[in-house]
Amino acid sequence: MENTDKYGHSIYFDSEKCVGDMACLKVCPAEAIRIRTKVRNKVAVMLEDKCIDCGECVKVCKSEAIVPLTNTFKDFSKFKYTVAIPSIALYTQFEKNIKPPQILSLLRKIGFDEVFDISQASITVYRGIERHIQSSKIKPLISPFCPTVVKLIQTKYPELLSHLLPIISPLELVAGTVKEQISKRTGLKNEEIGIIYITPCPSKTILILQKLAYTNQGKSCIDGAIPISEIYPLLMRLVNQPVTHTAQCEHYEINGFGLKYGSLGGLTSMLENDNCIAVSGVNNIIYILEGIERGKLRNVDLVDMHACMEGCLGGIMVVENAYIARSRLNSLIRYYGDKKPPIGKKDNYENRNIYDENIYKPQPIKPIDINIRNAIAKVAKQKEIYQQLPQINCGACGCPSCLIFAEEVVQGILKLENCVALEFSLDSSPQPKEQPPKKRKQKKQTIREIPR
Amino acid sequence: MNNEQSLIYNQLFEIKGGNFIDAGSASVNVKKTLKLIGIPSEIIYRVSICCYEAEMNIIMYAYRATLDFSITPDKIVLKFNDEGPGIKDIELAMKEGYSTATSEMREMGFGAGMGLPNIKMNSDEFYIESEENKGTNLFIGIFIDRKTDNHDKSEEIA
Repeated sequence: MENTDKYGHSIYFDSEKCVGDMACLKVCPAEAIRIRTKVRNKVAVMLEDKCIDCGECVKVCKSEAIVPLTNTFKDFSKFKYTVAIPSIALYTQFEKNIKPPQILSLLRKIGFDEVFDISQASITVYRGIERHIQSSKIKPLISPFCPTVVKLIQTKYPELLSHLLPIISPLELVAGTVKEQISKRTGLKNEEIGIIYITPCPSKTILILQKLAYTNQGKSCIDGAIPISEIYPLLMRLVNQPVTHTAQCEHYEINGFGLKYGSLGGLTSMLENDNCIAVSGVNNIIYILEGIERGKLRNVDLVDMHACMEGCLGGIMVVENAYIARSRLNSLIRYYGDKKPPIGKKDNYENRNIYDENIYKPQPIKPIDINIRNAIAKVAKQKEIYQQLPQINCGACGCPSCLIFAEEVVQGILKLENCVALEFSLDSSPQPKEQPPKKRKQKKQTIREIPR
Repeated sequence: MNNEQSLIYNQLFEIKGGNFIDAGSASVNVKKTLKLIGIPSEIIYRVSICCYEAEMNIIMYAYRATLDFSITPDKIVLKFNDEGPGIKDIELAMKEGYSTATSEMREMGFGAGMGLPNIKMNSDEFYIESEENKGTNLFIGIFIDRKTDNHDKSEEIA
């Protein structure tokens, strides 16, 4: 996992493997992909200022040219002590008879020194959110737990950054707490302890790459992220063997109510507040953000946003399909009891500060020109060019739409000749323009003649 | 292109009264253009509120309208001309909380009587004229404060 660009993206485009089939071009909700000619081949490239790391392109790429940046086991050899924190989505990847404590024990067996569950911490976080909603004047609040959502707001809706809940995620809460405790207990330095998240999506690696500030130290406590899809086969091989590591079972106290956090709409159902809504899918999120920007949704307390359909259960690096996963999670919640635990109950996370004191900075998209006069002239020119284009959005030029092609022409990146459809219509324009009206007239006449 | 006159970007939109499904599409387009030009986000935010409120007024009350949207290096201008019932008493309509919205409109979250006052609050220039049973003309101007944006710096260097 390398930080290849200053934006710290979690997705890498491999131009060696890319066949330029344009599958990714159309699905990108941020219009951040272009197909450019490199040497002789046409390859997909990412515009770093526009990409929001949603992973839609990873899903559709058949040539494995779009690579999510995550860790492998080898990367963890630099740590003296490794701690795994699995996403709740991991519990839903297996048959119903395999329960979370067994999965957690197996994680220890494949090499992690210690394993922690996040369902307990999600209750602490949910209580914090409940308190914050009551005291907050900003409405609606937006949950910041999906890094893609945060990135989308940073790039396209910077004026909504103040709507983000200033509360750390359960993952970050566990990571921070555990790191401190282990460091105290073992005497190891913070750098020697590797906190590894078992992740359903690559976007969580933004936290690590960008050092996205989530804790009071101004840096994420997560040191690595390994995809569920990579852990799954290892666990599958061991799943039918009896559990051997029963030590440290006290950490494996699963809380049914806290498990709700793992699915879309889980947080809103935990809050038992009818003024909270859950939204998934980037285009749906954009629709809601547009609404918030115009001052609508003022009656909504909280919008829980997840870029993937069905939330983290629908992440691009999970094995099981999201709908099966959700039914499994529901049965797990029932198994562990979905009653709200009493408030006074002591747990590992009491007295921890769950407020995120850091401010997310805007990362606006580069404008068409840094000089406002030139920018206005360029936009006017873009409009002019757009009017000449066939406006069929074929994508053959390597841009997702004709409007963007016009922008690239103004910028001097592409030339008008690059439009295949325009060339075609210019070549054959003199003849068809004259012929069709004649044909139509004839048809009309014949139709009239028949009834007579 | 050095001529200030040629530095006007202009776009026309048509808005149909009663078209709640497409409501806000003109505002979305206006905003996209402003973002592409690189107008500071707090100005876009104000333009977007003004444009949306005015657009919604048309959709709720008028029959049809045009939006003439233009940008010059100093100013963003939105001109709404509608054919509709017009406003009887503009002074009253400018009062916060005054609304003639029907209960259905209120159910959809509109008609809080904040539309026009909200536009006035968020704009730098605001003119309204209306003739009953004919229509309403609305002029909204928002200055691009060039002291706060960083385009100026780049200009100085150049």
